[in-house]
Amino acid sequence: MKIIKSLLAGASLALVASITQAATSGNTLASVDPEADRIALQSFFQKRFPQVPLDDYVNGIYALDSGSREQWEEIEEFPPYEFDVEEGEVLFNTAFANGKSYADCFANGGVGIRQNFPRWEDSQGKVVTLELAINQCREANGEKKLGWKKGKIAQISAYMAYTSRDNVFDVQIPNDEAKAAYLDGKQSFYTRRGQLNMSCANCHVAGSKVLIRADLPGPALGHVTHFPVFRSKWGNLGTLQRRYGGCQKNVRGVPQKAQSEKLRNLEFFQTYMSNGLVVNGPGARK
Amino acid sequence: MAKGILRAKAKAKGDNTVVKIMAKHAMETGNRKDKSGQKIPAKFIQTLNVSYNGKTVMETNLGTAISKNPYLAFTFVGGAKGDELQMTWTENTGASATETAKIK
Amino acid sequence: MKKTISLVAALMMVSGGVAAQSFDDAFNAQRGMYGKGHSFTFEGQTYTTDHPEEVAAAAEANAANAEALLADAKAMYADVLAVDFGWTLTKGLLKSANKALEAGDFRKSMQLSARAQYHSRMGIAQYHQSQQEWIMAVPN
Repeated sequence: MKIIKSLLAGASLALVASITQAATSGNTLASVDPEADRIALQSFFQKRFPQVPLDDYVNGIYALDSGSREQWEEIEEFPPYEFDVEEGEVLFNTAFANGKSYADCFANGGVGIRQNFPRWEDSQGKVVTLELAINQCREANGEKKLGWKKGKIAQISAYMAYTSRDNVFDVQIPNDEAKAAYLDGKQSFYTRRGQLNMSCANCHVAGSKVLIRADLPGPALGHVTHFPVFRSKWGNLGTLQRRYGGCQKNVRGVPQKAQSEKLRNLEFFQTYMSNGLVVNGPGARK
Repeated sequence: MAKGILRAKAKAKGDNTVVKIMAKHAMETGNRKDKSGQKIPAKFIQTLNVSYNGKTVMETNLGTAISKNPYLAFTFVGGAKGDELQMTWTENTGASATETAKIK
Repeated sequence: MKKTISLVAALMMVSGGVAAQSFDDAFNAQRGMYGKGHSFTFEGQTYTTDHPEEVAAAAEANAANAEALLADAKAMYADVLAVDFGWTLTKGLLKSANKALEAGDFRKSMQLSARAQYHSRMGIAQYHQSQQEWIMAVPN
């Protein structure tokens, strides 16, 4: 037997280049079709749950499971995110030290625009999520960035979502670079990771409404429309990027960083999948 | 007038009235520690009583076992649309207040 | 180079190509049926149903081997993190392996390092395999 310690370090990675070249057709930049993907996902869920109207998917698992829907509807009478929206409104309307405010950074003064995010920003060559735009606005005006996962950024995002309720999601893919980001997000969604070797799709496509311990995973269709979310488990409001990290840890995978390129592309893909559905954030979930 | 800490919804349903209240309150037990290791002082709602026409319709002793932003819901016999409920709360610190809610 | 550590098969380290796939299948089937330490042949060569890490952990328990194994495990962990496929429990295993090493419990350290390295190797394999397989989960 050879002593192959030398292989441990780099050699196994040498294969990486050749393998990534061999991507299967239909999922390359040339052949990926976001609209076809979106329609295919809708058909999947309509076949699986024929009684559920498309519009209801914004309510996640509560569109599919009547027992938890009853509890959720009662919670929504006094939504736990109510106070956060109020605080978010105050934060949104408080001027920066230089006199400017968030309204100066966003179209329509930042009101009723949630449905346009994430957006492909050509000038930056990347996907910009709403929270990224919020922090970019802060930095452009001499303020410090807010943390990505909870607290003030979630409250501001919640207020902005709230003003956009019932607006129809309309994420655009204007060019090939944006399409590449979409494809990257799509790949992330369907890729197994972590020690438990699970992908987002395992729980949220095939495994939607299939009991995993005491929980029912929500459907991938309409998955992101209600963010940011007041999660009972957290006892507070958190962003979608926060939830991504949590889910990755749940499958025992080292989480990717909030607002990293991979996770922004994932959010881009997921939101595109919800095009045609309405904004209903912020939301309350178990 | 300062906004109270109680958000209430009261609905007349036949002979009964259904009441739902959410209190905006940290409900600090006094056992949590802040970043520097100091205990955060206890600050929690001790009692929350609701009365209608001078009569108590619900009495609660909350305390440290109740978590942040407590939510209570109850039904009482009586009550009519347009009437008012008196909700009085007291805190361990001694603070207290009475807020009102209209039955719809 | 510490001759006391030998690894099972070059093919085990390479988990992306088609040839590696069928070796892995044979290995897993044999191990599933017969457990660890069982001999089998594949394409004319003889192998055992031991993971390379298990073989390494069974070498003589001394400081040099324990240190070498820990270094290898840490290196492979860095590799898996570089492709963004790390597993959450690996870091803790490396920490425990280090602690055992410092306490002079070489066997324990080697076993923990071996587990950590296995995690990372699996994560790298996962990365390669996912490139080809993810598309199969997409509804159409």
